[in-house]
Amino acid sequence: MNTAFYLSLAIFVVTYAIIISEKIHRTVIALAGAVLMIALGILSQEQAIEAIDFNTLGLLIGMMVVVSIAKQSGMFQYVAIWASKISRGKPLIIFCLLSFITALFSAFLDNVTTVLLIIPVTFVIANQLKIHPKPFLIAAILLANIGGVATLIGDPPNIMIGSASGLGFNAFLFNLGPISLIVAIVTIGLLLLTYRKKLITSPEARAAIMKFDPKEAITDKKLLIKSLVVLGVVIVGFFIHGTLHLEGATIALFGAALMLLLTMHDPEHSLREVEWTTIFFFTGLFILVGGLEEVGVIHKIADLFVATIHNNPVSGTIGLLWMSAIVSAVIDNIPFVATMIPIIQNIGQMSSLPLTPLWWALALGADIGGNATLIGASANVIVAGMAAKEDKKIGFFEYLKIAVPMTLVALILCTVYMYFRYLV
Amino acid sequence: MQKIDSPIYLIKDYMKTSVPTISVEAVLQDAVAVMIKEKTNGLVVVDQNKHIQGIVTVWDIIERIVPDYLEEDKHLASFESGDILAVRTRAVSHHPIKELMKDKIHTVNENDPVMKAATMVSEYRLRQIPVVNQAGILAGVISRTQVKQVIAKILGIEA
Repeated sequence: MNTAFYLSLAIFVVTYAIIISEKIHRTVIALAGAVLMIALGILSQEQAIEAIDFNTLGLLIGMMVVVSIAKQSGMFQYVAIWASKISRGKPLIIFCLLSFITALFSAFLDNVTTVLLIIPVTFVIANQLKIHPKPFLIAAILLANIGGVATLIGDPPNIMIGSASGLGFNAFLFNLGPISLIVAIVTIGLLLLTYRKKLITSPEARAAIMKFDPKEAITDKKLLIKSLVVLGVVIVGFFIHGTLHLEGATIALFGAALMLLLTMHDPEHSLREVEWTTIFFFTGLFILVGGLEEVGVIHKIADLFVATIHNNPVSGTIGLLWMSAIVSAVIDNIPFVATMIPIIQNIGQMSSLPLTPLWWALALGADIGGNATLIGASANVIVAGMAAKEDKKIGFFEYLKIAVPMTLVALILCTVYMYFRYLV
Repeated sequence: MQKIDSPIYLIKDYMKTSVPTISVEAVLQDAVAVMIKEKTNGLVVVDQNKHIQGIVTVWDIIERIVPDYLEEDKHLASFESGDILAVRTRAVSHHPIKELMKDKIHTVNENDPVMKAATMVSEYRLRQIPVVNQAGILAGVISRTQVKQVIAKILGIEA
């Protein structure tokens, strides 16, 4: 092993340590680390650019443009308001429906966008019901992360995994959709048991909810129709992207271009809505991991993994599921998954382990593990911030007490699912 | 050639010298009380030495009362519970002015020409600009109204 090996490892470890410490913005430090890899000659600029997964970036950017325009129509708010109305103002039913809607939105939108849409509606409905919003807020966090498991586009780790493994939209839906649904149902059931005594309201409050006219949420009817057309095209496009031999990014960017064409929105404004800091964060991570791969660190870790599990697919897959969950509970799952992807690719080259279950284990662990703590995923942090602003602060340990048991139950369900579906 | 008389109009000759102020130590409900009493929507925030600390307007107060989640989501205003206005108003009534006010504000000196104030009104769409004297102490305000009066004077329009 040479200097480049240790140098690359040192840059990587220091960068990740600073990302975890949150002392410097994660995007800034990831880019700095990435450029250092190039400046010190560990990677050439060519190699660095090759390390960037433009399919992941294109998919993220495309969906961000589509959603940022579509949400201005009020369609997502419409659905949530409509759900509370058809619940006839009964808090338990509203709670279930809102939780399901959160999971459903999250399967097709990214988790942060989902909670940014659902939390304001939640506050409004809780205020009408005269119920403390906290049960709804905690449910939104948990279900946003659980719903994100279900599809290729539901959560950034899935996008990265899909892009690297070649597993398409339908593969994600058929393999992770069922377990996402099971975990969602069980979690909502457990939340109902926990909070049933708090979800009580008065007849007056119910009457107020029943007076809701969901149509008032639609602020732009023309935009609504255009958005529905584009979302329809995008979703159908994802269903058939394998048959069409088109990558996910092509579908998402096609949707973005179509949306901009149909609405004739000022592209300057719409493109500014793209979370460029996230995009550059991914870019930096891909280069950092590319540096590790170039000097053989990734290969070494894969070697170690294969040696530890002695070619046993059960311990390998289940072990990866739990390890991914535990790591993702404490740190951001995006850098973790970015690092794990080439490790799994290397494992595929050096052993006879079936790879597909490993990809599912990584996705499940990374997405669901984020539920365990208030800092486990970006959606959690966003909801906690919004709650604190309204003087409804969710305490770190208060959240832990609810979320850790829920996450453990979810992981046990995932373990059973993985075992019976892929490992026997 | 006829000589056109073009005097320089100075702020100190046109500014409004009675300025409604509020102490930087006050809270939201004090500001509302002064605004009601003085029939104004904006107050200059000063410390005990009459040094300007910022401006607080009824905009700032309304923004504080409206929950952030409604400001972020324009689709929901018609669904919010009606009693939230009272609940939120009471909840924020003791928020310190220090946190409400805009502290990065434009000021002018009383010896500046009115042109400077007019430029700032036009560039930043300011409603009123606090005026300080040589010692840096609040001396008055100049607003669109005062600039308008100077314009009328130049045009020879009698009030």
